[in-house]
Amino acid sequence: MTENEGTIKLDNLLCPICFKNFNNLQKLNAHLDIDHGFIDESVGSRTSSLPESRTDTRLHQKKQIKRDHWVKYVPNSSLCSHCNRLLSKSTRPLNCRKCGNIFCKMHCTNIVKLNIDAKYDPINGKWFHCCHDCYTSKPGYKDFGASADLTDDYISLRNSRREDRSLQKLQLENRLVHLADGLIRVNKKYKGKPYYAFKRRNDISDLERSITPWKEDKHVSRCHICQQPFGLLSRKHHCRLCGSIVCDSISRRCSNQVLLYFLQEVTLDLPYQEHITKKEQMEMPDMSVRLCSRCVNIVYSSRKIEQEKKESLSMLLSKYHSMSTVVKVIEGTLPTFEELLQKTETTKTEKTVPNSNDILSLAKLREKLLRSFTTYTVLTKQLLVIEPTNRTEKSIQDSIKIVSAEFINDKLLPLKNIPAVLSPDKYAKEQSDIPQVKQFSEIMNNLSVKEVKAYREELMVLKEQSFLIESMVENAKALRKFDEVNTLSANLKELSLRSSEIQKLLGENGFE
Amino acid sequence: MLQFKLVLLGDSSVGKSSIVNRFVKDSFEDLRESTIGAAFLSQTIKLNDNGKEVIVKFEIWDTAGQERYKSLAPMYYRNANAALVVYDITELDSLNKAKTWVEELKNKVGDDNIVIYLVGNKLDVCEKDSSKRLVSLEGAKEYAKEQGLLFIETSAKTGANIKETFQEIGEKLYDIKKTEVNTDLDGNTGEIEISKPSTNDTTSCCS
Repeated sequence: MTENEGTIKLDNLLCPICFKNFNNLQKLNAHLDIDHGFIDESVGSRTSSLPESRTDTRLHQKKQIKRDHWVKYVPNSSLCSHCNRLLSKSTRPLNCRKCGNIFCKMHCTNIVKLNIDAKYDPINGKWFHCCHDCYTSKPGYKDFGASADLTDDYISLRNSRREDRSLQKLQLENRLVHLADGLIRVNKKYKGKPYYAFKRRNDISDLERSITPWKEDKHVSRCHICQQPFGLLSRKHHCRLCGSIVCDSISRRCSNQVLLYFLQEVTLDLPYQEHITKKEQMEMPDMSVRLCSRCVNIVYSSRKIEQEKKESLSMLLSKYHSMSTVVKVIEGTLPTFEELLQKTETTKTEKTVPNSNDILSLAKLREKLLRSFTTYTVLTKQLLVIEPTNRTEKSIQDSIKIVSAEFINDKLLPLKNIPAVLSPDKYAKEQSDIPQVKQFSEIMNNLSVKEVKAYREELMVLKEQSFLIESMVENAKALRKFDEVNTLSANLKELSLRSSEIQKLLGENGFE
Repeated sequence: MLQFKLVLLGDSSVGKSSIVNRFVKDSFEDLRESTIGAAFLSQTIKLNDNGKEVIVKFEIWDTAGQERYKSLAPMYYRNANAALVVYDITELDSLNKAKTWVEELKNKVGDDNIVIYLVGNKLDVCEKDSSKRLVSLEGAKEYAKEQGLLFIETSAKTGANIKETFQEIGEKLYDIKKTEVNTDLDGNTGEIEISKPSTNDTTSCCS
């Protein structure tokens, strides 16, 4: 490679680092090795093989970093100072240019700026290989890089912006008050004088311009908010509060004509002197103010949201709230109920008489639960009857319907299995309660989830067994054991009978 | 030739299939896969009735012990002439399970219609190392006596008491059959009852 490169004659060889000009490749290589610290032992012959001119040698000697502190590489006995592995030619032994210790190539990969005395020199030094320790102990080294705490700056910036915003809001509100009062006054002045329509318009225009300095049409070519260029179809409009020029695109809602009545209704806390009634507004639909969407947000929307928060909930939501309180009651009672039930069940298996107190409280809890469930279903039914006012309410209603059906299936059906421990007459009385509630969950076809699961499992087992017996029949036929065939096919018949029975029980909950 | 229906019940891995295999094929496998559903096997034995040779055929239903297949069991113990309720003498739980089986049999089939044989299996394990025994011979025997069951301890691995068990069942069933026939003859009904109507069936239409 070196010979080949030597023969190539190139006029302009620029060092990629310092852009110094060289007339052949060897010189450039030597420059890179010495001045930029890319020296490498394994190809160390490169610098020595080049036809050294006198200046080159001087340069070489002058720029050579000191090497007398280097630990000597001894084949088969030198160890890497970091990983203690035996160094050989293949691991590329390398001396840290700073501390002089010997490393394998992997552990001497960092570079640091050093001067020729192997001291740290971040300004005039050249890049040299060094070990990790020398790298981390260089002046100004930080493990995670530099950091600066900007929290205070951020807070002060935020505060100033917030102040700006509140000031702006105040200004806009003041303008709104003046504008509204002025508009109403002008209107009163020209009331019943339809011939002065032009003069009225002029007055209004003057009023608007006197309150808010309008931006010059000439300087603006794009909507202040959506940045769409104005043209023949999209006309320029001035926001009457901030004066900026916006379009009146319907889809983007950059500006809107807001009726004065609605504005005043929402912003009643502002010190209006004149008020417009709903009737007046109906008579004069042009009593409106053009506002850009930003001003609407600042002045109108935030107040509107606050007001709506204070308003009482819609029927749907209030029903849902009472439903969730019932749910809380049920979820609170169920665990204690189950615990008690477990207790009485165990006494039953141990064939002892269960505690009468337990049974009493169990019955009470059961009654309470059933009552809660009835309330829950009644509430759900009432809720489903409510006519939804909009699409959102409709979807809310639908999801409540699903959730409540699931809830009832989940919590009520386990209640069905217990009452054997309770006295029989009480049981009979309570049983009459259940179907009424259960009708609501017609989904399950009078079978609890558990029962359906058990039946399905049995059906599966039966199918398996039928399959087995069938193969047994085949086998017996092949072996000509006909008495066995008879027995087996009788059993097969029995199996299919039972499975069809279960299929019937399961109804549409079964599977084919 | 007399035919008897026989069913094996018990907890999983107590050795039901091994017992049947020992009896039918006189073989034993150390590593047996658990039974799926219920297996059917048949075997004939010879009985000696006052010098007269009687051949008895057993139709054996070997049920799976796993909980999953519990629903199949009624189909097989119904109309069975005898039930072998097997437990593992190195496993206390298996005896409890056997007790529940006995109870179920008595409830569903009735004492008079079925011969119940309580069988403690894996005797060979305890012969080698008596500390492995967790179910005492006396306790089980007492329970069997209390409930009116036949009782034996067997080993399917060595074949101990297996043949004897089935022989005894055969004799017992033959005796019952003989007395039945005799009483029928005494009553001069002339009719032969082919199969008894099963009562208390879980699957009967009025359950």
